[in-house]
Amino acid sequence: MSYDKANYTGQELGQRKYGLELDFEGLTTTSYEIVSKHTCAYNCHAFAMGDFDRKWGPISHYWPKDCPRQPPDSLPIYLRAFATRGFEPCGDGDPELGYEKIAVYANDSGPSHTAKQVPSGKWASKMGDDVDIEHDLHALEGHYYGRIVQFMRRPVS
Amino acid sequence: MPVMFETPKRGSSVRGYGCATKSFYDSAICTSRYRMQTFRLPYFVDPSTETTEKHVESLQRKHHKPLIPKPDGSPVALGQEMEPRFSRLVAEWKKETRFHSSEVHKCMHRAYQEIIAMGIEAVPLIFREMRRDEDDWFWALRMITGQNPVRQEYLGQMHRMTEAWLAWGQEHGYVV
Repeated sequence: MSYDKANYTGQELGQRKYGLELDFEGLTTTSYEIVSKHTCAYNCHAFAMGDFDRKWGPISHYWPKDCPRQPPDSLPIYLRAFATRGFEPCGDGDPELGYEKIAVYANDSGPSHTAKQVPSGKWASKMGDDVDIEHDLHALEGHYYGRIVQFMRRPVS
Repeated sequence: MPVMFETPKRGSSVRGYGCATKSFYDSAICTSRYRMQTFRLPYFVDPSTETTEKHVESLQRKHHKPLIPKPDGSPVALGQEMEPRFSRLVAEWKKETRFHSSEVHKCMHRAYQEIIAMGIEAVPLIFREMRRDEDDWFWALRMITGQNPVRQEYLGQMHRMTEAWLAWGQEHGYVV
């Protein structure tokens, strides 16, 4: 399965963008693009891992075998889960030749979101059960997702 | 023959309070047991391990009953009077968590927790909502019923997880 390309009408697109910008102030001041239709088939963590068929989550969804599921609000279990797909912690989100990167966000309640870098250098995110977007690195930081707490990278296969 | 009743303390659960007949006593206990359903597990309990099962067993022991009571044989009739509140909570939950992928954020949302606290009476309503719009109701259903009909290999696959729960609901009379 791959992207279900966003073919919203102008009005639908406007409504989607309005909804996003209400919760993510950073999107109002930077350029971003909706790149897929909304779906609940996968979530941001699965999306960042390239898995479009299921949701990842330590409570009731798919979680890599032998990875701890608890406490589900702790960063280390996420990092360990992503490590099973070849990601290792790195220092920043700058594009690096031969590597693909992800950014893990967290707020007071724990890890909240994962975004992945696309070849253009921009970042792509699945917004919960809503759409996928391409955006600037820090555009999603704020009250909803908190801030980026960890970058990870893996060699491009 | 009249039934002897305990004198209830103020604010305690119903136990034959003011009842005059045995049938009413039974009914009161039944109601009381329904109310006792309104618990929730700490979110950090791992559903994939036996930790949850043990916890559920201990709750069952504590409440002296299975977690899926069907006293009148028609559980689908449950929850009808709760429908407006349920609908309001669902709308609130969906609106406020729609951009969240994190299960912790979704399952610990106040509205979601309130739905769990409705207990078994919310189950038919959850199934109806699931049929209308697939969403993350799995944790709530597990917490309320103490069951998990989803096979390990289907975890994360929304459609298959929903199907598994709806089949379970059908089998147990919660889906019409």
